[in-house]
Amino acid sequence: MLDAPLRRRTLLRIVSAGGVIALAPWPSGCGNADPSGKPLARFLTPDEYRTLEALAEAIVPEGEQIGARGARSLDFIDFLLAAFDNDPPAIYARGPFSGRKPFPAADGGPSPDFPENDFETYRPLTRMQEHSMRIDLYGSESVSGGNINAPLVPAWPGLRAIYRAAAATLAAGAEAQGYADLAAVPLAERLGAIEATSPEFRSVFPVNVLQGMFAAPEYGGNADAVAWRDYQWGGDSQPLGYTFYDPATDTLRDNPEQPNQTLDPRWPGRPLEPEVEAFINTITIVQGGQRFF
Amino acid sequence: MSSNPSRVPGILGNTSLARFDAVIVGSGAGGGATALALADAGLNVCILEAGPNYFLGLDDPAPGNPKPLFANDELALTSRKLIHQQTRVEPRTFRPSETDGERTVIGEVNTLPKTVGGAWVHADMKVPRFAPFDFHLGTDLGAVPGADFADWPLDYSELEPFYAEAERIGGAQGLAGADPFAAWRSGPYPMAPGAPMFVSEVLSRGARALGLNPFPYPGLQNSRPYEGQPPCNDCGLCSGYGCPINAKGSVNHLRRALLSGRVQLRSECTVVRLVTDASGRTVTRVEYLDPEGNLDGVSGDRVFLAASPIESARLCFLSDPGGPGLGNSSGLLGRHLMFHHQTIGVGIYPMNLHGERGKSVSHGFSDFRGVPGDPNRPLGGIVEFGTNSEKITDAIQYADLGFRGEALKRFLRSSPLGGHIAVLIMQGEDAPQAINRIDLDPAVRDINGLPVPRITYQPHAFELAAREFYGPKLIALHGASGAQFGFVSPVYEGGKTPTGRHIMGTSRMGTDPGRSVVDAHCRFHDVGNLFAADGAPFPTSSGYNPTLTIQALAIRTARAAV
Repeated sequence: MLDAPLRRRTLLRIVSAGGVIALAPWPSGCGNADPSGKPLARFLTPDEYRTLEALAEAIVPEGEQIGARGARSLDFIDFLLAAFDNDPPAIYARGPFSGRKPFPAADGGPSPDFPENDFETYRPLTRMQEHSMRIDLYGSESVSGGNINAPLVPAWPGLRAIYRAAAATLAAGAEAQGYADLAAVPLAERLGAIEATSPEFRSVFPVNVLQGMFAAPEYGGNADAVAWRDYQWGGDSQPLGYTFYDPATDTLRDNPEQPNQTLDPRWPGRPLEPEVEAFINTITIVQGGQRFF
Repeated sequence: MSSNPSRVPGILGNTSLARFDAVIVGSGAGGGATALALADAGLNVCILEAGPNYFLGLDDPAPGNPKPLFANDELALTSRKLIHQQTRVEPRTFRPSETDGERTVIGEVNTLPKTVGGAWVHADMKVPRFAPFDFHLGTDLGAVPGADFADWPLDYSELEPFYAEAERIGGAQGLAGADPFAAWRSGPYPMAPGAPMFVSEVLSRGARALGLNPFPYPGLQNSRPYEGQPPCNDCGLCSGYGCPINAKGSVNHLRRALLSGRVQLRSECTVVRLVTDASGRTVTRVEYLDPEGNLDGVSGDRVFLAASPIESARLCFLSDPGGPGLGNSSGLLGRHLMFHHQTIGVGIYPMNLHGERGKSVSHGFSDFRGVPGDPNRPLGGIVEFGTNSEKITDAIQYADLGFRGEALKRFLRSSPLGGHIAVLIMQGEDAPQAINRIDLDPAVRDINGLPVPRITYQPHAFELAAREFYGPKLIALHGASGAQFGFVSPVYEGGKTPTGRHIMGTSRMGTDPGRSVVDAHCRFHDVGNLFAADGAPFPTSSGYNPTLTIQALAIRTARAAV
């Protein structure tokens, strides 16, 4: 067993495999905290959160493997949008270790000793990082010099404005169809709603949803690293890693539980599903490649 | 002399130094190697680095230092560019040729990290040496229409001791003799090879079946405890990431330099201008923006440019507003810009190749580097065995392909371009062309109000022919290794920004001031106290990863400059 002992966030995983449970937005205590222990700031209103989460659920639905809703991608997005309401801004988690993996024991295997979670606090930003991220979130008008290349570079409205406008558009669209909100729209019909939103939103939203699913849990999504497990990816592995130094042989040897040099029989890889295989086949043909079997 | 470590925020090393024998612009592979060589010779050095420092205790001699603040954090390092240039505020521009207008792209164009340690922090530390023939391709190839192949003003034997020194200080692992095409060596590698990755085992079997010669890729990850640093534990997130346990040799030169007591490093200081005397032949002051954006300056008897070929040339242009550029009497400053032309053979395999484990690349082969003048073995490049280690990146590419809903979920589950992918990356020789260059964009500025570098670049028929020749062989190798699918990606289309991050040229070295920018010891022909200490002096690109050669050349340059 390589994962850290049950932690506070573990208790917050309230979506079981294959099941979707209606979640109240803003569950108390969920997500990271600033150095004083204060929960990270949020930006979205409960209605906005619910609307956007309903769309995220359509982009990556729930099922045998976790979807965007169960992985709490909207928490990730909400924390991002309010990043500068924390001090330091909640943009870059510190390092080097998350505390999910232990220090190696003398024999190279996992020890019972886990490092502190350095991901739970954030780094101060440099001047350039701060300018860049403020433009990203608040728009190019928010920073002196942010529009220096207009009109060659179009003005950027900022993610906060983009998300707020999209949430309003999506909610209005659902109401116009006679639904209470987007969450009430049947899942199969929700994806179409995104067409009414801005091109900027249509571009960034799927990316942010997937970042939320697969980034480190301290950023707000990927609750309890569920998406890493469900999609068979190892996650952050330090300080244990996958090999250890054996002085007796003067070589690096594999961690027997998670081999580096051979196939891991526990995670051999899921076969390509027929639709995926057909797509890769098409790419291969278009690229002038070869199918070998 | 003050004792280490520094207690001044943002400044490392000896903070009491007030007069400098040398100023170095950039703290990466070339800058660090230069600093150590100069300090060893008794010179006092100031290093100006545009990026922040994420190595705690880098200038603290206590055992266990430095303690990196890097992590297996894909969001911070890849998505949010923790150590990379922020292209919203520091964009670059690109155009394929001068006939394509002022620019076709504004934004991300071949940027490298800006951080203490430079691009050597994010690299997965591959350190093959160049081959002896790489130093005289001008003679070997003769005239190639449209290209400017030239001999280096030195040969491999002259550089070999500096290669060995860079490997020793950096901590190289490798196996002498394993690559039948490798240059001769004066001694073994400091460390034996580390652990092979699963993907390398798979591809090596296929390569051997085809008569190729796979070998453990030389790298600066420790395969055992080395000089107080721990061994690599193959955490998986190596390429693109700083090492959380300091098992890479990214800052070995720099740390030794800082511990010498003769070196001071000022981080988050962006150099904006080299000021010269009235003759224009001596740099008298290096001006920079401090961490708050205020203009400051420092002087030194010698100045070394180690900011990467694009930024170093940009600085020379910025230093001569309205003129041809500092040190540009030849008209060649900024020209002969080269990237390795990457031909990438993609294989999709039936099993999980566990790209999230290992040191990104553990094996490769040199059979496709070729032989000068042999039409049956054209000059390509070394081939790396790689895969995909990043999950966010894997997921986003399916969204970028337009998949949503259950279709996206199928791709996330199957992970054809993540867990199932293996890549063969050929770092192909990029023919030097005078038309490929950097200059200052006439309109686009960074947030400091300074003109950004504009890259004008298109590949030559030389490397496109190598791509056509070796691409099918890469596909065949995937077939021999058990892949279900194999193809070359992307299909080459003109007009795109080059993908290679190995940046070379822009201040070509040579003995003729009319045909080169710097001399045989990388001193600017026109400016007596200005030196190039990055990849800018390379007359040709070779087909091997360039950084060890950058370091070897920088050490040689520094020794000659003392």
